[in-house]
Amino acid sequence: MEIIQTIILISLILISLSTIRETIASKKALQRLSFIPQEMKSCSQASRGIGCSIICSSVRSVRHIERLLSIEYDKYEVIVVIDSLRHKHSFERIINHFHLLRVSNPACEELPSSAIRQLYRSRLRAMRRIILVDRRQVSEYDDLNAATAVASFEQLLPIGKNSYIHPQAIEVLISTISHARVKRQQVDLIRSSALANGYIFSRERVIQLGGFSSRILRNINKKSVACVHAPICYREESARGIIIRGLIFFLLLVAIMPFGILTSVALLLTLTLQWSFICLLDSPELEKKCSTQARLCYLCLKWDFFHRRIFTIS
Amino acid sequence: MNGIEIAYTLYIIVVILLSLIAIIYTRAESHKEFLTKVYTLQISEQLNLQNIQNISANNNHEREALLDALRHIIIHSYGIDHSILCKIIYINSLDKYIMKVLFSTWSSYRKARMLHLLSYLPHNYEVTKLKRFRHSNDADIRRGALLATLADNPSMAIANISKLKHELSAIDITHIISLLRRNLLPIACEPLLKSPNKNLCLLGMAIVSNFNITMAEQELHSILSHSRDQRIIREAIFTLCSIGSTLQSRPLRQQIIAGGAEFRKTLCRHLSVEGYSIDTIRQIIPGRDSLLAEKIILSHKRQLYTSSEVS
Amino acid sequence: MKKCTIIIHSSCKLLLTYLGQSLLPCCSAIYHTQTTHETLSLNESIHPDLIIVISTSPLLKSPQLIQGLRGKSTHRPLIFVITWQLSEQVVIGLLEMGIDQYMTFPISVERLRSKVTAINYMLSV
Repeated sequence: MEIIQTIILISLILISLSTIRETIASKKALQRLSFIPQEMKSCSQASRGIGCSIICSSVRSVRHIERLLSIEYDKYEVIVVIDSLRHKHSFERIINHFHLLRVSNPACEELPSSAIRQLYRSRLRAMRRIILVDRRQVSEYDDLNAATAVASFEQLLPIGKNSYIHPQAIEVLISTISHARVKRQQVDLIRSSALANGYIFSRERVIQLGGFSSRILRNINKKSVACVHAPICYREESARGIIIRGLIFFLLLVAIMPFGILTSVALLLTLTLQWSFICLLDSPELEKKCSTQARLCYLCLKWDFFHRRIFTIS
Repeated sequence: MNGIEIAYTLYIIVVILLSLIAIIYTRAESHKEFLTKVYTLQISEQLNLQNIQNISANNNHEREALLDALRHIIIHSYGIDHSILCKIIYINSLDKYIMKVLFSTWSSYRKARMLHLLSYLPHNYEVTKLKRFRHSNDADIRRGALLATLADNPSMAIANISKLKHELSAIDITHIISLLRRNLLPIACEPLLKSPNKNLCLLGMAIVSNFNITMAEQELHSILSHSRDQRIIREAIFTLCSIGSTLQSRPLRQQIIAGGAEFRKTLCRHLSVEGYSIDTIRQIIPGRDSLLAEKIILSHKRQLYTSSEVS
Repeated sequence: MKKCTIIIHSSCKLLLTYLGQSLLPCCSAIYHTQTTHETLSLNESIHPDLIIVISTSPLLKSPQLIQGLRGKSTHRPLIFVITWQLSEQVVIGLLEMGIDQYMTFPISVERLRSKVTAINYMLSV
């Protein structure tokens, strides 16, 4: 009994220390981003041509796409991959909302994407940052590969169904790449685990590795990986996902109760500590409603002891 | 109480204290945002001569908010009456506060922040005291010290930049350009482009692309024929693209061929997005590398899908 | 002289405060909005003479805002955009969508006031 209580206490201490350390590091990293000049956040000319393509799989909501397009940076595009036969209504809604029209799509030799049925761009010049790829739905990795084949810029940021790009993600990218260029370092991957697991891949490296897969993270040389503490994206789990995780946590609490009231109180207070520290990462740009869900998702990430060390966006 | 219970009790007390600290800090931050908004309103009223009451900041928390408000206004506008800003700074002893924090704090973020503020705000302090920060290991502190020195003495800007031992990053150069935009630094780009100093050359190219100085095309081509530094060559090529150059020169083609396949692909994508025609790109980038550009350009031009393309 | 009604649309509260206060002497009323929905509903109710949009993201993320302002209604407010964005393609795209003026930061508040005064003069004529 005492051994189990000791193990539980040590686990809680480790979780608390890890949360405190990571949120303080993230907060400091976010503060450092304030030194990036305002013009660099909007204009790629100031950042010397750094461009980012957001490649989306399982993104079907117009509202979600609008939130992805809300980044002001000019060398930025959102490539949405959707199966028009399976998700006909979503597909038509996106086409109508952004005034898209079908354009020609020559096959890409770098990354075979023969499964692309059609490509759509907007007739409006102001909406040129949105690209719609119609392809048969197989897996998220194939969707990302199809989007990579179509992408115009060097850096790729994969986004899944419940993921959103953090308002300061572009600043993270600019800061990392600018410093790497001065040090003559090759950066193939920028990864962050603040708020949610976010990755920015170098397009050339993805092509050299044959495209996205679950093992892509292991195939990239660690020397060319830049680990940053500032958040790149955040997740909003669906209500169902949060309820399921809440139930699991409740069951954990019930399971710990026989070990004493102090153990249960310690568990609850650990959760409170994590919640209060995550509030430090609140950005004024994050929409109020989302920040609560983002915090919940981050909490779930911290308690996910057995999270897979594979690349996934779902 | 046995040892485990004592350990749990201690843990609970520590967690409660840390949670309270985090909550208090978050509330202090939101209060500071509120104060910054109030000060922005008061400074705007003073600048519009709608309110002659002095703006006062009575503690460090309020001074930080006032500094944020001043910085925000100065970054987003020009042609402000500096006498009003000087009066606000003098009444609240903001420059003394900045120097006090700069020399007493252990936080490198706060040091860097104070140095950046010195480059924006009018002040009376000895710039020579900032010399030790110019050799710091922290890039943000080094940049802040450089900007404060440049803003204090614009006539010595080129000399100060040429003495730097470290290479300027894109962020450093953009900050220096923003000083130029606020008419603080009178620098011509031609001597910079011809300079053997790498930092001055990079700054010159940034000035050319920011202010769209098409007359500098000749100097840029000359850089491509003489320079061996990869960063300078890359910057020169991208600067030529930004001023809409025809990119028809032998040194340029030689550098592109020497750059490698990855560089050619990057350049292909960049030229396509910048609006260069496929014929121009085929002349600059030889062989199959230009096929990538053709695909992007046709797609960007929204070439309508035709039934003959169905395979 | 008649004074115009202005809506300032921005997600940054500090800029809303600063520009709103700076333009207050030369207009009859200033309204602050932070979302597309607020701007469109306020446009329908008060029929402003000028809408100032700070940053290009409300216009670039969806055609909804510009379509709502330039759509079926007979009322056509002037739209000024003030942003850090320098890209030619973005500027042309926004002008094609129907904005009237595009300005970049840092701005001169005096110049902005003179433009608003010119609008007041036009309204009085």
